[in-house]
Amino acid sequence: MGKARPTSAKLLLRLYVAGNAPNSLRAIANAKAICDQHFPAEHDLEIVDLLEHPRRALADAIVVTPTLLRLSPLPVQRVIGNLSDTNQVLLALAGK
Amino acid sequence: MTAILVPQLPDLAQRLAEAEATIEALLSGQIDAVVDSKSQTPVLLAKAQEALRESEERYRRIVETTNEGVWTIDPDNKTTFMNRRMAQMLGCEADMGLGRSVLEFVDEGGGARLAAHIKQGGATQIEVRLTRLDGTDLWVLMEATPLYDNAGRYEGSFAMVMDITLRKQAEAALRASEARFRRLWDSGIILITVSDLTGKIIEVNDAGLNMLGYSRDELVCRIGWDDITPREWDTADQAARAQLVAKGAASPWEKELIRKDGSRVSILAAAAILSGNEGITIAVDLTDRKRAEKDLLERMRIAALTADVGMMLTHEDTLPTMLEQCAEAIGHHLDVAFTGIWTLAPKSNVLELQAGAGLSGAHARIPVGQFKIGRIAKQRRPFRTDDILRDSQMGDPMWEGINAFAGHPLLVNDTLVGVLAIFSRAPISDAAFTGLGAVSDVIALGIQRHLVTSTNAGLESQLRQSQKMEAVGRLAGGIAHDFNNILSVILTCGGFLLDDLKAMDPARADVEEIVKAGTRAAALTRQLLMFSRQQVLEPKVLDLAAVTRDMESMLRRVLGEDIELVLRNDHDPGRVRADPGSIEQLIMNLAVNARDAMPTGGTLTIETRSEVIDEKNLGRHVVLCVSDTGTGMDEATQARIFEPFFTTKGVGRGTGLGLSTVFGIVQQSNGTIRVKSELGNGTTFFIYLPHVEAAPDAQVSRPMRTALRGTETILLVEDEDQVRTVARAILQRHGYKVVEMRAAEDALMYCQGRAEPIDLLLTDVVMPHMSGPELARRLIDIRPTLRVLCMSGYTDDAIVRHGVMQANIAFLQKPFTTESLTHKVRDVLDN
Repeated sequence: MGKARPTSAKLLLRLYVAGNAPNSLRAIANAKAICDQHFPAEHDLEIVDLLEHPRRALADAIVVTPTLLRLSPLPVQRVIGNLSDTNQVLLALAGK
Repeated sequence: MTAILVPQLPDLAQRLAEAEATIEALLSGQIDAVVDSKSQTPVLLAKAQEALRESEERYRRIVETTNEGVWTIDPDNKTTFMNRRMAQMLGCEADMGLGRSVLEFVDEGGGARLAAHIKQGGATQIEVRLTRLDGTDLWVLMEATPLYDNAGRYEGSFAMVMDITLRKQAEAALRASEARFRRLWDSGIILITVSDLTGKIIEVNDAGLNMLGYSRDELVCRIGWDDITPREWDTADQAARAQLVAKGAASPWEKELIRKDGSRVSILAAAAILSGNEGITIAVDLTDRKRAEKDLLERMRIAALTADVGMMLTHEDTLPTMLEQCAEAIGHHLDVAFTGIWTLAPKSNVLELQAGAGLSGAHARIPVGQFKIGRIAKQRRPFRTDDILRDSQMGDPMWEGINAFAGHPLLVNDTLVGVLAIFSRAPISDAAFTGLGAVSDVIALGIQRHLVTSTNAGLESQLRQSQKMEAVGRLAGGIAHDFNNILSVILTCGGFLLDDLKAMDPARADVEEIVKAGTRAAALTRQLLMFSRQQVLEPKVLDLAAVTRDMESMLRRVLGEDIELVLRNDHDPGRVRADPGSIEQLIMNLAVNARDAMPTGGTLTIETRSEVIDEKNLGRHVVLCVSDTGTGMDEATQARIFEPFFTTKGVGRGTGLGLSTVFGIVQQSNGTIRVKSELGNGTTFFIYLPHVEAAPDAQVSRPMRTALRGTETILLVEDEDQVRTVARAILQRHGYKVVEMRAAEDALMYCQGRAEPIDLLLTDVVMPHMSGPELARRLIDIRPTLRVLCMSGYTDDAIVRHGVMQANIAFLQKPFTTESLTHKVRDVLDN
């Protein structure tokens, strides 16, 4: 029943936001900047607006927005907040 | 789906780390939404924050735009916030005040109060004076509310602040205004009342109470303006009320108010409507001003009166006319009911009413000292009363409606000349009383001047009269002297002839007529001399009553049967010093005149009495009154009766010398004579002779009218040949031996040369070279036993100087008759 694991080592990220709320906008901007700067070729950033798709929160057990998930490579890492602390974000993305 | 919720990483530490991260993110404000775990919907934190922010913004706007100051402080009273309004109040920017203690903005006293207020908290308010940064003050109303945190800790206060400076200023202004009004209210200067629309007084100040004499309890809400307004002022009040209604205020009008005691007070009132149903009335007491106006008016009246009176007194009117005009002027100017002016008759000491309409009866003649008028004269002090009837001194209730009286003595240099008095219905003011005094002085001077003038006129007339009499007297005296000598010869020779003629001789009747005519002529010349006061009088102390008694029978003969003679004598009228013969002559002359005035009969009354004359302290006199019931005399006749040769009798009946003689005798006897007569009502003569304290001299003997004889030697000295001849003839016929000399020198020589005895010197008084008395004095030196008899036709001062009147020198009046000469010679030789 589980999902198929990504075959490549590609960085798979999912960012849950709430509309145009300021921290959400800032988190989107920060996530794109970090990905473009540190993982230019090998990332996939999905942005989920909970205001549009509230029920998707359930899937990843999202409690607050913005929340960034590193879906791949596993293990899943969570970064909560507007991602303005770049070092902390990189640490989480690179974490095992 | 539940499976999805299964954490992919079961690591608990991981989950914890995520929870911490979530909390941290929440705390740092990086969370936008929270997913509701029940509804599985995201709740946007951003929305809540927005709402909060909007709410805060709204409050901020309210706070910033409110007209009240908002001020928050921390527990140390330091400012944590103030809104713009608060900053504006304090005169600074909002952030300039931050951190400053709120107590920096208040003074010490205010600070303590404010600190207490902040500490106390609660919904209370405090008024406090703040000081702006620029040092000026503002008053604020502050309401502080303490703030506490969740744990109940005090974390400062929040205050709403309202600027009440304007209100405070308004209050202060109101207080000042009220204080000013209060001062006015309490000033005591003006009456102030507040009354309702019906005029009822609902408030009054002390000045008003004083003015009206009521207590506040008696007046307030009990008495209205109508109650204290005399009815005659109703019209004025109504006009004021109409004005009040129309304009809201009534301009000042004069009126009177009735005091509690019923008296009146003059006021100037003004009124205004205060509010819908209240009015304020103010009033100023005009009593003093009215009095001053009245005084001024009265002073002007007095001035006008004094001027008028002064003018009147200069007119050449009679005294009563002049005073009547003065009285009218006083009545006119002083508005009095009656004015009276009395003058003093000094002789009788009676005040005689000269002017005074409406005054009569008992007031016409008032003895000094009697009634009020007489007392004013006696005390020489002005007097005034405003209540005649109750004044015990007045005692004359005849004045209907007259209440006031004032009188002034009329004095000139302390000499009383009269009294001026006024009777008035209204009280006599001080000014009028004083003014009346001034007028009195003027009138007194006027009376005095008039008296002096009329006295002068009288004296002048008397002088003229006396000069006329003197001239006539001299003329008559001169003629009489010569007449006497002639008559002496006629009478003597006539006497000799009668002696020699036989009783039946036909010539005897003719000679008798000659002697009779000569006798009449002699009487006439004697009267002439008496009138001209050249008669030699031999005064003696006399009892006039006795003289009249002695004359009674003679008078009856003279008066005739138709006239009744009444003698009326005081028990003891007193004695006088006068020449008895002259007095007899005087009475006879008056009796003869009275007889002639009563041709159809009547009564002649001769009265003697004693009278004390006060005038000039003349003292006690004996008065001889001779009154008849005859035709009387008019004034013109009375004025001339004492003139010589004035007669009302028919030609040949009167000489015009009778009363002149009486006048002369009275004058020579130091007396006075007055006449009172009225046409148709008889005549009375009053002869006043000074009383003397002495016993009457021995009754003058009335020797028998027979010639007396003697054998003594008489030295006769007379320069007039005829008189000497007659005298020698008479004396020789009566047995005397006569040595005759023409001049005094001859007589002197004769006596010096011979030693023959001479018993009597009979000498004329007035002779050339040496007078009779001088001769007598010299001869007595040689012959001390010599007796002397002087004779003369008239006397003058020279004779008196020569001492003829002395008692030791006898005197014989020429013309002499055989009887008078022989009697006198015998008298002198025998005494």
